[in-house]
Amino acid sequence: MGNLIGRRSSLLLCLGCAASAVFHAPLAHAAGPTDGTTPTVEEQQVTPPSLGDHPEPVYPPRALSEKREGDVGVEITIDEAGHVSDARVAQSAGPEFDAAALTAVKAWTFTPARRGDTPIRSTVSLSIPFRLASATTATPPAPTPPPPTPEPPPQTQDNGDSTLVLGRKPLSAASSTSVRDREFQLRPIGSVQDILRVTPGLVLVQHSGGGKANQYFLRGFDADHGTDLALSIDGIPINMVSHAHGQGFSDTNFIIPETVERVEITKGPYFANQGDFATAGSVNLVTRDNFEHSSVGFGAGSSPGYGAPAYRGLLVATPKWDNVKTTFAAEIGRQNGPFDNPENWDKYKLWNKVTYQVSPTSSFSIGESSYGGEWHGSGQIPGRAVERGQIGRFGSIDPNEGGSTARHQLFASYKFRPSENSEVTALAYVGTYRFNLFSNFTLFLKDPNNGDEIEQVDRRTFYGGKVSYRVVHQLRGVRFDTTIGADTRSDDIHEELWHTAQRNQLNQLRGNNVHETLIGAYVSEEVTPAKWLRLNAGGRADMLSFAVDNALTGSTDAQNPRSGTDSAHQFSPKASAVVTPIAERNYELDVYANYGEGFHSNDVRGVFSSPAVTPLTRARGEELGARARLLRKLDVAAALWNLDLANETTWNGDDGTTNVGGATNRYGAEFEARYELLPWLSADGDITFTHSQFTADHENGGGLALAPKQTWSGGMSARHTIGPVPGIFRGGLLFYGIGDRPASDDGQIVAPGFTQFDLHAGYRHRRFDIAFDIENLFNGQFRAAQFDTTSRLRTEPGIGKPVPAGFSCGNNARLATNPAGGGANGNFYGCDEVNYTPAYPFTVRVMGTIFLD
Amino acid sequence: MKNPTLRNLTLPCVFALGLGACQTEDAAYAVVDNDYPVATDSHDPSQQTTVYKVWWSTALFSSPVAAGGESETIRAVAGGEVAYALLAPGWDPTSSDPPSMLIPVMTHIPLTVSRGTTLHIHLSDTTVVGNCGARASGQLTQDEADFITQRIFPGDFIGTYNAKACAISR
Repeated sequence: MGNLIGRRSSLLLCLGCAASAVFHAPLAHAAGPTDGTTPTVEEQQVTPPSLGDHPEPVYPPRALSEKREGDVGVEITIDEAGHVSDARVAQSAGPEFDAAALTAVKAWTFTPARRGDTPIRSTVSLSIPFRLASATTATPPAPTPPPPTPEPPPQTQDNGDSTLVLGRKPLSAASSTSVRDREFQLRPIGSVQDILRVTPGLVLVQHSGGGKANQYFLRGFDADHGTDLALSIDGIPINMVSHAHGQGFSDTNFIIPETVERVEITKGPYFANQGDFATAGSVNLVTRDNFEHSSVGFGAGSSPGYGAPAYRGLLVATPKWDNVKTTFAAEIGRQNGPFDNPENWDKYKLWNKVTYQVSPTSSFSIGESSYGGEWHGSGQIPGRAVERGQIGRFGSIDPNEGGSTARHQLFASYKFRPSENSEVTALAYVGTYRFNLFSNFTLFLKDPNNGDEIEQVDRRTFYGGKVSYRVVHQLRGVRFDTTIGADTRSDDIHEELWHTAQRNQLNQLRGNNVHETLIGAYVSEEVTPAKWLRLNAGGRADMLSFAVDNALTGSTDAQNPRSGTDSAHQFSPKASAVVTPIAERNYELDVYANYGEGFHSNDVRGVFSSPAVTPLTRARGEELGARARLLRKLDVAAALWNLDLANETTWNGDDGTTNVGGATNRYGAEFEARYELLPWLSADGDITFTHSQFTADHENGGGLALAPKQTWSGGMSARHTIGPVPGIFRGGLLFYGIGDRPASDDGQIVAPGFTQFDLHAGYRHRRFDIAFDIENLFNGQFRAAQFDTTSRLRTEPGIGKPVPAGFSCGNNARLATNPAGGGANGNFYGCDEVNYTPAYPFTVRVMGTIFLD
Repeated sequence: MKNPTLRNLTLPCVFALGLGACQTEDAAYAVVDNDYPVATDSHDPSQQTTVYKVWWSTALFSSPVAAGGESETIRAVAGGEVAYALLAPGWDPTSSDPPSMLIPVMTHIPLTVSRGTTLHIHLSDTTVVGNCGARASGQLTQDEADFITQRIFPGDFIGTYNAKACAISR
């Protein structure tokens, strides 16, 4: 042994070598850009970790006998207690050296990094050389961590023919951002929708209860369930094309929130790699490759005074092997909500992913996710029924609303770096989806005997893939960052629309088999002629081909979609310029100008209906904005933007007809600010102003129903060491809201706005975590999803019958006119008013988690 | 089980499976009990009163309930309201012919149900108003009769129902 040690390597811990070791403090708060060129993380007062016990690696015997040497690049994560919670090989020197290095570093201990007095988690990259004694002339230097540095920008090493190292793509729009888990862990997290709320300007509201997709508001769009917002998880699209309920339907309920590591956000149609639905913006949820610990968690929640409690169980297993990262997560739960008609929303979710580091330059991931849920909804209730005392705020007119859904998907991704300056990524996915939804929007307007309940059925298989190649090269001092890529997606869909009563099918209104395939290819070239200037030009071409088969061949309904095949295509140019006039330590400023065209596809059934829907709706956007960082404490961003949409004609899945709408224009301003008050305390706020209108004035000022005019969000969040046994306290007081907006095109009926306050407090110990959330802290009685709807209650006058004296539709409502024309003439054709889903009242949730390893 | 991670997961797995047994079901339900007497000759429907349809709050019972019978249970919403019904005296619920006569009635008092319970809507001449042929049952006002025939069950009446005569004038 002594002989072996004598011949063993001298371990050169390059922790002290700034050139090869990089220390990352975790983000103090959000808004980390997707690159690192304009770091928003406050790095001052961060003390890097220092090495404690560090047993040296054992020189692999075979390598020793063969007199081989090597350098292993290792990235280790050090937790708040100073233990190595994760280690991975970043640069391989062969399996034997890699294994020896990993075995050694996992036994090391550190004094943890600190932000002020607070221990924080940190990541250290280091190089572990294995040198034979004869080749070593120096003893190991005392291991000292390097000074903290922000995430490095793409580095240029002037090495003869200019070798460039890839970094993450820098921001190219002021409104783009990326938010990591440390930020949204400071929020109440009951579902993945709570994570999506980190998106500045994006307001989500619960819609009809339970397992139905949320209602999304962004940049002047009431994007319904996702028509103008591209949502994806690890690049896999969530939006469903030609969905039975609504185009782009984005149900994120299949996602276990704890699996999300990062949220990537863009707004506007400026990005070549984004296709369908990315008109108002896009949100990509990036899941973690593994967890720090396996764990089991249990949560319960209730709205005091309203119904039965909810519960949630979460199981996480993250076995660790060399070169393999795993995530196995399972969630089950039941939720009832505050409704008089309890949701009884039962759900289960699985998220399983294995990532194999094939080589130092390539990794392969394969995964599976499953989700099933069924629920009862209370629908959108008419305000007049509440005003008259017929039902309570959480009442229901049709307790049989609700449904069931399931989504199962497989996916595989591959990342490969052929060289230091190039990267290939590929993604393939396949999934099945099932959806049955019972709704009743108009109540007893169309069928006074059985009611107007409908059932929407969607069964589909979806599959697709993405591939991209990125290369960075330098010529005469000018940097060129080139990305080319392609994506495709196909959906085989069977969908039905039924008139039902108490979930019993009465007669079929629509029945279609649909196939559609969208293929896109894009190129993006970013040129950096000087440090202060980046120029980007690119574009994408998309082609949609589709076939619709009408299964109701005997239908005499003129609006019933015909059978047919067709295709459409679009080229969407993109261009951006980024100027960095100030890039000093305490003052940084980037100015962005963007132009881009994009599209959302429409439900292709509408192409074969009358009036017809265009398959692709073109959007054209422009944006001028800036991001600044002042004194390394304050991040501010502002953007002025404009977006034109070619038309608002859509297929209405609720009655299987076409809604005709002309071209629209939206423009607005957005402001964000985040300030680190203390190393452990920060505040942030976002506010947006938007004007939306039809381009043609239909004698109503071009009014556009439901378009949000103002949104806001913000709050304060903290993270600090506390307790006799050091643990981390975290907390946040947050708010979000939306202003009053017109519910009808003429603006006569208004959807009132709201502001909701939420509170989160949590404590994390090495062995457990406990989270305490309050939703709607001040018990505001406001409306979440709202729609201007003409409806009739069963007890109201019959259609076409005289309106009795003294009859009123209530506040913020009016008598509907005869849909056949000619006004109302004193007769009843329903009440036109805002039907709504109430927001949850004061709700408490507690979640406890025990770490198992 | 050598892998400590897997070993540690055993208990949580059992725990998680146990969560599946958590039941917090507390919906309200409603069911119709036709308390009209069953005739001595139960095979002679002409001596019996069938409940043709019932509406209570949010629940529509559209399947006829024979005398002495009970309807299917329907999900409802907690609350209180009177129940409205159509009686079909002498009509055989198994018949394919529509009833020749329908009598609109309503319960004397509002019926209430809370979450987690089932409301039994008992219909008989002691609980309803409007069955002209029965002494125990009171009489509907014409407004009440119009409300039931024109708004609650509009598809079952053509013409105007006369509350006093229990007859339809076309």
